[in-house]
Amino acid sequence: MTIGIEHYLVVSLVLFLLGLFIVVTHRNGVRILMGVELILNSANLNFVAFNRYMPDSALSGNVFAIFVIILAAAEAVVALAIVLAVYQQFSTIHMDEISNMKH
Amino acid sequence: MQIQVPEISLWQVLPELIVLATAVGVLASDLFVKSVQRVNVTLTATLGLLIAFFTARSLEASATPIFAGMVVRDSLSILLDQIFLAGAMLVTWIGHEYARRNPRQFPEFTALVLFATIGMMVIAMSADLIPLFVGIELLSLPLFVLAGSDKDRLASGEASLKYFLLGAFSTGFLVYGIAFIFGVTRTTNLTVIGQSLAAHAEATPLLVLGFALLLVGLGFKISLAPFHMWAPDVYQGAPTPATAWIATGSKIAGFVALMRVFTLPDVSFAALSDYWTPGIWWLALITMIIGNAGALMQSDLKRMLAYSSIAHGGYLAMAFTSGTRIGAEATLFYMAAYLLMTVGAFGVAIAASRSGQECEKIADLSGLARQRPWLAFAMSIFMLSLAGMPGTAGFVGKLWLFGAAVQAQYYSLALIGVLTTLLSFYYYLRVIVYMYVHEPDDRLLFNRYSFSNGLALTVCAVGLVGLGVFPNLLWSTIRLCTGAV
Repeated sequence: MTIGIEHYLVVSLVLFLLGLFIVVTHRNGVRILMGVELILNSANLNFVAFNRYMPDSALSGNVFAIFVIILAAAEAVVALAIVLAVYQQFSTIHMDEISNMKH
Repeated sequence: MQIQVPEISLWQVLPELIVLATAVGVLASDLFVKSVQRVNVTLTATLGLLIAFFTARSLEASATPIFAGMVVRDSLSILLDQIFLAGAMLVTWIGHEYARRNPRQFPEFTALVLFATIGMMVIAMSADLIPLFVGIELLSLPLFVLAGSDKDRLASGEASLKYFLLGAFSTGFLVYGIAFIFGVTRTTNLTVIGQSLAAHAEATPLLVLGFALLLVGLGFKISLAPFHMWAPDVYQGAPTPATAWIATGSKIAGFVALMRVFTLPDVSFAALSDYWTPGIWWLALITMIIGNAGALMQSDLKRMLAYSSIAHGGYLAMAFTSGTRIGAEATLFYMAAYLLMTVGAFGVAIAASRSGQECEKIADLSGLARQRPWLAFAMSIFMLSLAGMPGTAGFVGKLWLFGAAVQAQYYSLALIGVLTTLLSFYYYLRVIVYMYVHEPDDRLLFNRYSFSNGLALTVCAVGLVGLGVFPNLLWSTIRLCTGAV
């Protein structure tokens, strides 16, 4: 059996759904962030796979993946800074307990 | 292997570079100067933004993409640059006032507003999905931090965390969607995508999935219902000047991204409008209803403005659905009007504080007309313009939005738009009633507001009435833009 593009797409879809599942079911701020990272990486896998299996590849898929990796790193920095700041105020990062706004 | 270095014409992105230099300068001033005066920070930012504004004005528009097809300096991007730069200036001014009570972290605040502005300007000129994505991130990351910048209030941290998690989540959708679009069309260049779609305009499942995910990702950014859940909490919790920039700059930039991807003729998904139009049609409908219904029930001023902002996103999306030139023109005009009235309303919310007490509830505005008549008068203009009273830019803008929907034969959408607009008069007029009719709850006096805030509110109010009476001032420029693209 040869590995084709569809195998990559399935793996990336599974990664995406796992990420989605984590974001929807978990209430811990850091875990939600990990779910988001899974989603971003599933997209990266797609980019690289599409780029590899394209006849006239212009490399823009790979370039896009690099941009996503860099921006995901920047996002993680901001996220952890926010989580730390919130933890100092609330002593928890559980989303359900971080709620003091009246509706 | 030969690597071709694309032509680098830095002077064409000079406005962005000037804003960048100003932001870095403001940030660095905090490191090297012992005690940074608030006035100097605001003056530096204003000066930088003004120079960038006039540089943008003087740029020559050209439809040829630059930087190897990554960005395009067309008249649309030049006009939007000016809108964003003017908006950033207004937000800096109202932030100056806010900082009087929260002096910590002021240089950072201004610098972050400027960084976010660069992101918006990058979105406005992107001709490729890569700069579009980078622009969205450049815009979002500073705003996440801005939302949490008031460390004395618990709500600020909460707002920041919620905004971040939903923002990052939506970025995931966006990127996953772009990956599929790239997979089907083999390019990230919007013009080439448009050509390849126009050549064989069949929507493969992957492609439909791709742009559905893209739409969801951008829908979160511009808080279209049902992706609006974060907006009320974030708007309420974030420091008010940050809220003003989230509500205006980020929302307008999101619509610009939609415009770049979906509607520009000869570019991108215009060829497949049969497929994406129904999606945006439903989103616009739900957004108008949920935004206006939600705003009816709010007693918190910023929360009410949040729902009102959602509703206005719905009106913009309605004109956007039409996909016509008049729709794009109406959207652009309304963006400018929306910027002025929303920044103005938040500016009043900042100015109408009593000693040690922020203006949070709508009831906190009671008696404002007696103590600060000009402030109440300005707020009345903003509220009437948001509601769409004739004589204000809000009315002219809405007229064109509805006109675009009717012209595209979206009668039911236009009807819902008009009905919800009538509904919206209730909650906008309620603010005016509180200011003019109700007695103040306590005898505390309203603070004096600073010159910078007064200037920002004057600019907003005069701009709204000016555009309401002479809409051609902006309309002619907009027509030039859409005629050229």
